[in-house]
Amino acid sequence: MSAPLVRIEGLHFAYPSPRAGMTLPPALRDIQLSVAAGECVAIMGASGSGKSTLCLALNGLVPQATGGTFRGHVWVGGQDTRTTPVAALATQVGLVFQEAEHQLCTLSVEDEVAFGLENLGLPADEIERRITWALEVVGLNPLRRHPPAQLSGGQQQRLALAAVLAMQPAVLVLDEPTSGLDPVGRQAVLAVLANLQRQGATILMATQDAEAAAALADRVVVLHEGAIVLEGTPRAVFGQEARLHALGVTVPQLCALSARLGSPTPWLTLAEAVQALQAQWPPTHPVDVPPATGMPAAEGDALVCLEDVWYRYPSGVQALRAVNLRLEAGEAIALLGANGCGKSTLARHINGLLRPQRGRVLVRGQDTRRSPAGALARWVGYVFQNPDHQIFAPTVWEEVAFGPRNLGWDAATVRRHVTAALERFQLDHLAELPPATLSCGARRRVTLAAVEAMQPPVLVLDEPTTGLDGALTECLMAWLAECHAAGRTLVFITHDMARAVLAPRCVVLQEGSVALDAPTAEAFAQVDLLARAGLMPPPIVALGLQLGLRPPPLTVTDFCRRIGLSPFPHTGEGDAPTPALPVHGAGA
Amino acid sequence: MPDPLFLPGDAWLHRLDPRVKLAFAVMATAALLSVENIWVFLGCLGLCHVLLLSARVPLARLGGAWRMMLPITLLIVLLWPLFTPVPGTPVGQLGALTFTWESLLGGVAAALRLNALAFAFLVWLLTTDQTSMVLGFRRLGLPYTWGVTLAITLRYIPTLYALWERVLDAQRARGLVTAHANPWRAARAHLPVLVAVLIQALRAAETLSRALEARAFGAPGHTPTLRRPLHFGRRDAVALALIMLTFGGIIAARSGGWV
Repeated sequence: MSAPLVRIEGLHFAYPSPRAGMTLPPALRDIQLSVAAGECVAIMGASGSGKSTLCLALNGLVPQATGGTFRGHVWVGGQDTRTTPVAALATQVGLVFQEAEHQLCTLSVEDEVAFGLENLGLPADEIERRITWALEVVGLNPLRRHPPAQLSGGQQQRLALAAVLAMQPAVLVLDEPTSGLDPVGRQAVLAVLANLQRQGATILMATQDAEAAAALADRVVVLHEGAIVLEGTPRAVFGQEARLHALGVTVPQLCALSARLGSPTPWLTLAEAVQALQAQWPPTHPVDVPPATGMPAAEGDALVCLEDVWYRYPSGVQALRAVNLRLEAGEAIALLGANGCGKSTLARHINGLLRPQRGRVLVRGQDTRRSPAGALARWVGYVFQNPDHQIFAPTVWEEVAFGPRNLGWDAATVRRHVTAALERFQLDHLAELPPATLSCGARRRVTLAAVEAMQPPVLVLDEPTTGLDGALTECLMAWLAECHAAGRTLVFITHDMARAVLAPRCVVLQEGSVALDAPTAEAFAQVDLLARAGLMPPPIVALGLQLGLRPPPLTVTDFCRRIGLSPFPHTGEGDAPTPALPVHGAGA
Repeated sequence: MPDPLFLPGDAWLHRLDPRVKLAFAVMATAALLSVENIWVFLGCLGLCHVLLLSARVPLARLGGAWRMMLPITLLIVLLWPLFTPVPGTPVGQLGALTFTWESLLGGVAAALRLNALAFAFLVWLLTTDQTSMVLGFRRLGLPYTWGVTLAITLRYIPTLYALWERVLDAQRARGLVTAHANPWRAARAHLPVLVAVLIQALRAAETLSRALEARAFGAPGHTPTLRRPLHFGRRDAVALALIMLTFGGIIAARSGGWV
């Protein structure tokens, strides 16, 4: 291996304290890391473990823009990132931030790529050449004149990547490059990265996406509370399933399966898993057990009913076309589809934020067109994808009490429900802190508590797992299971196909129409239809289908049961018992 | 997704030098602020619409701009007679206040002036992409960083509006009622929306400023490239002359006391 391109020695960093007398724990502690040219390193860890801070330290934003206490050294291509101005490091380090939408600053795709090149003062013909090259690499050349704001999430992420690629940095640093993307968008981003890796690019990628790390990385580094606690090849790291689970890190499904079946080495690819299973546990006599979904469908009255619903936005986009959907009380459905297929539009019809232009929506028999705005909040709770869309109050307590007060409850009832919700999400010790200053995971828990305090019988969740670490995702899923067991109705919008199996029924939307409405196991077996809708089954389902298990198993536990083996006790997958909520404190 | 202020196209107005379009907005502003004549306001509004339609800006887009301006337009028309009562022919009574035809006309004129100003800037914003805008600023002597900052600010206006809508939805989903007959209560009800938007806008601004720096914005030792040349052609000269004649004429007429 060649000389290290990135060298980090004894890095210790703490963000400046937000107020006098308050000290934040260090975000990074004694980091020693070297990355060789051409290497791809995945940085993993729970929320708040220091992944993003490490990314910012690589291009000098930490500490140059953030301030704070910085000790140790970070060199990239021989340049000290602490003393070299951030803008001057741009040709050494290309940093793609987590939210692509917030880093695109121009009005056309080619202008976006040109921006950095113009700043470097390159000649105009060289800029044109690099724009074409970078857009070719990410597959966006046909969209050169498009406004970035009108691209899909996956396309925006690829554009952000092209914008830094064009500057030909020595190292690419990516902060959660696949977060929030639909399966097809995610796959397109991963394909670009795999291609770059083959061409010898040096990549550091902070990610919660274990499948992506397993597929791309030469090395996985796991952070915990700012320190490196695990480091090695993906096979070596993902083989330590129990340890990763304790650290709040998700394990690829196939690795979890290999651990459950006692395989000496974890399986990273579908081919490896198929080969091992066919050799050791040929499923010639699969046990005829219907796949367990965790939630049996409930029977009862239609609580939500959409009848021939059409909706068109003022921009002219036809978001919903003739949608018919009936939800029984106590039922749970997963609402799936590519970005922009109409999932959120449909969900907003259920709580009356949008009214159908044709057809009607009934909630508890009441036509939403005749319900005043906000009146349905009592019946339908909505968890938005971005917790920051609702956080405004000076304290966590006030934030959680906002909804119950709007419902007109008396002070004692509000207090009772808020206290219970704060306890449920282990926020009681943060009750007097301003929610806007909490960590991302804690802010998400505040929004869940805010909905829980209102006790709505119907819950709509819009991409609730986006950006969450393994432990927090499992806690969320446990809460949903509790809600469902208590007879509440769930509509679960997600791109995370492995989590979609929570619901026994799934509805697939394609270009505003219902393309499929079926039990989840049946739906996931229809791979071609899913592909047309921009979806892909999770690895465990793909494995089951390859081995001829129909309907396919939806979880690792199901899989073991279906091939007639008792799974070992749980060590770290979403379909299993849930650990206690991790406590995320204030700060970064 | 919000509609960006710029509407991509290749019409004559899009091809016009950005400095000429900026001159149109600035000269129109000077003229509109210097006179008190409703016919000038109406004439300027009409001219802006003709220019935009000739640049193939869809009617729906113009309708959208009017919809955006509607609340403030109504507010001015209704409140103007209260704050600037003009004696004249009475047309109605509200408590001790008497509405006169002249004061109502004053409200309409003030609203028309504001709309004419907005549309004069829309002629520039809807037909000038960000790169040309920055280029125009630079050629006018504005530092590159100022030009980029101004262009990015303009680009983010629709994004902020979309954010406002999203946050409003999130708060309404928690039972917030913003429609109140009492304007004070209605304004207060929007406070949770305003605070959440401000928090998120600050976060987004921080991310954006870091992303710009990471892409060599303000990198020492580099003179930023002017990727696209700016040619001030014969057509631009004619357009500029017409702008100067029209709006300069209005200002001169005002000075002479003719309008």
